[in-house]
Order: sequence, then structure tokens, then C-alpha cells
Amino acid sequence: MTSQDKKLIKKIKKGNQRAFKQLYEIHSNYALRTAYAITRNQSDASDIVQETFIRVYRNIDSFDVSKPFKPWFYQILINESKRYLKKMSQVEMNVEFEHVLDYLFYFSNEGDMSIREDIEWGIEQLDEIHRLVITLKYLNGFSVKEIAEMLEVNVNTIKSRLFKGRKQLKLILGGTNNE
Amino acid sequence: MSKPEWNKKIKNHLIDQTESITELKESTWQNIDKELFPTVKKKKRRRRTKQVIVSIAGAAMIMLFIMFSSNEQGLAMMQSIREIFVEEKKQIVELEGNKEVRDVHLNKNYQLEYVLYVDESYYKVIEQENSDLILPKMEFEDIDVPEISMEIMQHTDISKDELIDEVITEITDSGLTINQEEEVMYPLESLVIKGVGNTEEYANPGDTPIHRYYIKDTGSGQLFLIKQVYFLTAAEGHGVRLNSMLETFEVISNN
Repeated sequence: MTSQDKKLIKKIKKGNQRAFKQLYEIHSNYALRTAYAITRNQSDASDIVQETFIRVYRNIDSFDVSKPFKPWFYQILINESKRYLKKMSQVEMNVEFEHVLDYLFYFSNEGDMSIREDIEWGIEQLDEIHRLVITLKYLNGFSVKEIAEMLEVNVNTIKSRLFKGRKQLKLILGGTNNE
Repeated sequence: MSKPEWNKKIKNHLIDQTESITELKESTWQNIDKELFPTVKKKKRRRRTKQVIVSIAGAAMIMLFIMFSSNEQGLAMMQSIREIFVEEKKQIVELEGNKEVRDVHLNKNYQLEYVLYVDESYYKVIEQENSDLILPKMEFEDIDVPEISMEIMQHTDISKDELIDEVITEITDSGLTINQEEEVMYPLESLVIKGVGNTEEYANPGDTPIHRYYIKDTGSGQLFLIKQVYFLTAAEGHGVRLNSMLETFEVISNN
């Protein structure tokens, strides 16, 4: 945990609201981006981040300041995202991973779409599990071990999901599996 | 393309594609702020009115206790009066200009003859042999945090002047300097004596201790001594919260 996070959390534990606002200023941008990457819906992402910060404030007493804040924070955010997606019945809308691969092969051979549009399409169409690990790894910079702890699955599973997620994106861009 | 280049490309893409959501940062905060720290539009003047009403109600209850507690009918009446104090209520706490609405819970101590509403999300009450000790609920195992506490004691065998002398001796023996000694109306009608440590003696000046004592004379040979311990940095946090709880202090009588 950064020393700034630690100082702010100590103050929040003592009831300092301004410190909580500062913590929001530091972490809200990436929290919003992450929730948006997971849900692909701005309104849902805002609601998720709102609920996440409210839970953080209400449960800050249970947070151990000797441990890093970010994994704890993102675990709450991920749980909120899952809860939200379930509530909104969006889980059913996710496309099966294997199904996505078929589309990826198709588009990688079309060549008439811009590279960026291809990636957009790919990430958006990834199922929740793969989209989530790709986002946590590349947007938030978490290590494989940290993601595994947050999602409560083993490291090899995360490695496998990252590998598959990366592979899809490479295929979209016309790369090869060996790259 | 090399692996680092791919990784960078994916990251840039994610940042680029999620840029628009950052526009919702302020409105998201507004919703959080509204939920956690609802603004209560009440004029400050009303606090005084409320205090007067509470004082009148408190005095009336004491009278009723005295009048009715000597017989069976009186005991039943006393029981019903005890029920006047609801178990839970909401209290407004103003911290650094922001108002919070807190859920507070009734703490009754018939032995010490008082009631007080406690913010149990922050504090716990430890019943001791001759006093109640209120401590932060959160335990700081790995961090060295200066003491925060509020102790409520009752004295019936000592005069007010003697108690004042004892408090002054206790403050000076602790190495603190008295910087306040006066009659106050808030958080309760009482005499306050406050001692503050020397900031230069502490590696972190914010850790300088503050000991604040309130002496409440009920006028019937019964004195309450409330001792608050906190530190400079916590003055605007715990210092305010302890006083907010103390504002709800009411004497009850078992005689």
C-alpha cells in the first residue's frame, strides 16, 4: 500500500470525511474504467463504483492497514460488479468463449476493419471471466498472483485465462499464436 | 510484435476505450456523498432549544423518579419512565463542517445512575467495577495509536471542590498543562477542565495527548466525572464524537 493510502485510511478510520474524498480522488478513475470495461455500460459502472466506495467507507474498520489497499478495494469492486451483472441479468448475454474465437478468426481474415475497431469488438465480446482478468492485468497492472487472490482461484487458472484472452486479441490483429 | 509491445497495446486500448467513463467521476461522488453524508438542514439555533427541552425533560424525569420510586406503584412508573429512553435513535454529528447522521444505541447503567447513547459503529462500552469505559471499537494491533477513551464515574462521598483538586492533580501529574477551566453548557451543563501535553515532547506533534474532564453536579450530593482522553490529530474526529455522545448523557435516579 502506498504511504498516502495508509495515511488516508488511518484518517478515515478516525472519521475524517475529507480523507475519504481524497481516497476517492486517487482511486475513482481506474475504478470507473474497470467497472466500465467489465459491464460496458456507463450507468452500471457508475452505480458499481458508487456501491464499492460506500462499502469501503462502511467497512473501513475491518480493513487491516498492514495489507495493501488496492487488492482489497478491487475485490469489493469485482464482487459488486458480479452482483450487479447478476441482478441486471446480463450474465446470460455473455458470449461463450469458444464462440467468440470463431468470430475472431472471421474478422481477422476480413481485413477491412481498423485494428482498433477489431480490438474493441474482441474485448467487448469476451465473456465476463476473460474480460475481467484482461482488465485487471492490463488496465490495473495487477500481478497474476494478486488477481488469483482477488478472484479466489488458483494462479494457473488465471494464467490460462490470460493466455486465452491475449490469444484472441492477437488473432484479431492478424498476429500468430507464437507471438 | 514482441510480448511487451502487445501488452502495451492492450493497455493503451483499454485506457482509450474507457476514457469516456471518467466524465462520470463527479456525479458518482455526488451520489456517494449524498448516501454517506446526508446534509441536514437545521439551524444551529435549534440545538440550544433542543438542549433546553432535553434538560426540562431530564429534570422532570428525575422528579418523577424521586416521587414514585418509593412504593410499588412508583416502581412501575419508574419502569415506564425507563422505557422513555428508546433503544436506538439517530444523532447528528458535525465534523469539520460536515454533518453526519449516526445511529446511536442506549447504554443504561442503573448502578451509576445514568444513560448515554453510544455510537456503536465506532465505540464499545466496557463496564468496570465503578465506572464505564468507552473505547474505540477498532483495535489497532500493528499500529501505535495514542489512547482514545471516555470514562464515566460517579462520586457520592466527596465534595465538588475536592474532586476539582483531584482532577487538577491528575492532569499535572500526567505532565499536561491546564488550558481550560470553566463552566460550560455543551455537551452538558458542567465544569470542564482540560489539560494538553507539550507538543515538543512528541516525535509526532499530532500525538500530543489531551485529557478533558467534565464535572457534573446533580445538586443532590452526587457528582459525575467524565474523563475523555484523545490526542491532537483526533481532536476534530474522536474529540467531537465523544462530546456528541456525552450530549445525550442523562442522570437517572434509583433512590
